[in-house]
Amino acid sequence: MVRDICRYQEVPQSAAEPWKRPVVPPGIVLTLFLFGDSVRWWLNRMMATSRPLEERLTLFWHRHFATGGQKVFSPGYMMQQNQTLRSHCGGCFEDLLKAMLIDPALVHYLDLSGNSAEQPNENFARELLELFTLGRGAYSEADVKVLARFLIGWKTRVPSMRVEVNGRDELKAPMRFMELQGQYRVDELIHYLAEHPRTRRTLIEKLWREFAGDQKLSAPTYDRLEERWLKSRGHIISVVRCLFEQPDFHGAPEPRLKSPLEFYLSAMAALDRSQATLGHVQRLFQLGEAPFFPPSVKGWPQQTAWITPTALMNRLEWARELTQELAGDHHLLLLMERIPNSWRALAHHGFPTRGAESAFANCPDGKERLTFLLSHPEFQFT
Amino acid sequence: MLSRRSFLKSCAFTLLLTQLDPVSALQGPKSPTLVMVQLEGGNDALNTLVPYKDPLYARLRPHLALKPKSLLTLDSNWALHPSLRATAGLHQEGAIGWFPGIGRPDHDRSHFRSSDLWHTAGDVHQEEGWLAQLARETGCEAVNIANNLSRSLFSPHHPSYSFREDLPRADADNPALFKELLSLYEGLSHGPQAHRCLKNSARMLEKMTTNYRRRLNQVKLPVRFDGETTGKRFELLARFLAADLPPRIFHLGVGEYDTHDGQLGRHAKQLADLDRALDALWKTVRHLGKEQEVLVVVYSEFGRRIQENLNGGTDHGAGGLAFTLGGALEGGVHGRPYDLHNDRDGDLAHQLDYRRLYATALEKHFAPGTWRSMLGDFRPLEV
Repeated sequence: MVRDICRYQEVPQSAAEPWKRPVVPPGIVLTLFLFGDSVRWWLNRMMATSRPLEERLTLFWHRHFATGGQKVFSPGYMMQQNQTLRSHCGGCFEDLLKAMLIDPALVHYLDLSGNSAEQPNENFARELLELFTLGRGAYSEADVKVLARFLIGWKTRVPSMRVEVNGRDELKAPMRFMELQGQYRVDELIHYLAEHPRTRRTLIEKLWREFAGDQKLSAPTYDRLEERWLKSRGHIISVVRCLFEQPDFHGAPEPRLKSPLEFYLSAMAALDRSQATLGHVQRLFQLGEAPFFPPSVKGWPQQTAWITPTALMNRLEWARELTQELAGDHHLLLLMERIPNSWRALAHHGFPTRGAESAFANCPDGKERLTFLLSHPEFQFT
Repeated sequence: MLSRRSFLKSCAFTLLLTQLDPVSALQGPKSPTLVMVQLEGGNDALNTLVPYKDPLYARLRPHLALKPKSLLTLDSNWALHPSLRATAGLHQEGAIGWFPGIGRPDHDRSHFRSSDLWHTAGDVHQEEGWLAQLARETGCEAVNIANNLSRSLFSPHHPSYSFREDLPRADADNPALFKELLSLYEGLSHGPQAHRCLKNSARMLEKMTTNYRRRLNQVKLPVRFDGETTGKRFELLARFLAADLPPRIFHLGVGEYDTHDGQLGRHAKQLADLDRALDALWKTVRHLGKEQEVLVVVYSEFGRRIQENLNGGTDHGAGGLAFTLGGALEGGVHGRPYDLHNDRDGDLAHQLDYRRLYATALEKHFAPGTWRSMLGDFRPLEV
């Protein structure tokens, strides 16, 4: 099972691609409205893919190299980045990092484009160290400044949607960066960062959180994952596969609250639906987890941050919308079995209150009962 | 799980505390309200409260320095950005206190790291934000009005109301079902932290969709709020104040102040929106007679570099600007002129730790006596 999931590249994608890429104009498009189709495209792909791990990892990297459409303003750039992330998602981390360094969306998002030798822009250099590789505390302000000088001359070319680097790749004077001293090229610095033990730690811990949630990452498990990282030279899919094989990974996990996107995908699966609508995209915006629109460079917040009275209200409303959109008669019972948590909770423990029982019984139709199940507290947890 | 007895005990204890605390009875307003407003993205301090007499200002910002005759002069050192007309009026009336060069010694130029520091009063490893802690310890309800829930109101124990800018909506289409669902959520009692949070949220949601909603809708405001999102967010705040609802702690996130390029126009627009919103808010507060009860603290995660960049903007810096409106705080500029000669690594040197402003807001306004347990060594200012 684990083997099959991890060897997704051998799995053929369905011939008729339900997620045919929308045609998006290249370059800077001045309306957010145009992002609707791109987000929808990705959601459809998440729901229809025959390679679930590929989409999951692509989303993981999108959260890692969080780039916001609100600033990039070009669906074309964002879609291109999405393809880049997908093609590298299970591969070698260093390759991915290098691809991101010349990714137009990210370069634009972090203001690297059009900076100059007199005043190098430090935004990209800072996030490269803090978020994408080493993590906080492993570098100094001086390192940020040095790295920023290496990244002078990056320019996004709008029509070709490529990043051009104006040959200042090599700095003439010897310099000091982290433990390095001497004369280096940019790719050597990137290689150094990708191989740095702190980078390894940041990413292994992050991958663990992604797949094992709040389950504690024990020291021996970490060591095994690190060993695999070193052996495979940072090959992501090998590390992920190793992670799936760890005994801790299968320990009883704390139930984790679904993020809005997780809630949506599981509700759609439960309702046997697979076509995202613009309305769904709007809801994701409202709940704060629309793909391509992370709230900041740091990506999306952790779990309890999702819970406020307003957020709960929005979920309950959305559960209703999703069932109301179902057309015609459905095999209600079949669908209800696809909502395992809430259904099981009811089957095993009965209705917690008389009121709840009669509310369920008094639901005027099947859709209303489905609404009830999707809104049930148990359905909010993984 | 909290037993009924321990719950009663803790209630009694809180009650006792408020009764025995003579300070709160003597000082400060009856039901003080604290409003924190974050100008998101890093507001450029130099072009907000402008050191217009300093020749270095114009020299370091050949394209961005504001023309002296366009400025709103406060005194021989300071002038305001031309967009801040109403704010200048409030300053003349002594309602505004300025805190130039606010920040911290080990400043940070990353948005979220800096925001995290402000939001956790310096201890970023603490899960609970500083306003959430204040709300929990004083038994207050808190309201967030921003794109996302502010880190300062993150709490595993004490959820806050959170709005973007709209009023809360009515309950769902099937009220009976909605009510039952909420009671299911309220039935969550044990297990992970998320359960407790969901349970509290459900309880608050019930209140929000009934009582609060009705009162927020009914309220008649004396003035119109415009200025897009910023105006709408201040309007929602004004409704809460006018409806006299329980929440007394607010966090507003407004604007897009991250002006790496095209700063002149963008910054002017941001400040104009803010100016109109503050004007309308203060007219409402005056109308309610709550000038002493409401303290607004406007801040930003950091200021920007002294020198402009080549995109007609400024990059992330350190020493910033905060200002207060209302409450019992003294008006005027509380600080020395910026020292542009002695910059610190291209930034304004910091002259006041932001936590001393927090301590001041607590001691002089919101909850006298609490600053020491929450902020330790950061003493209130004499203003």
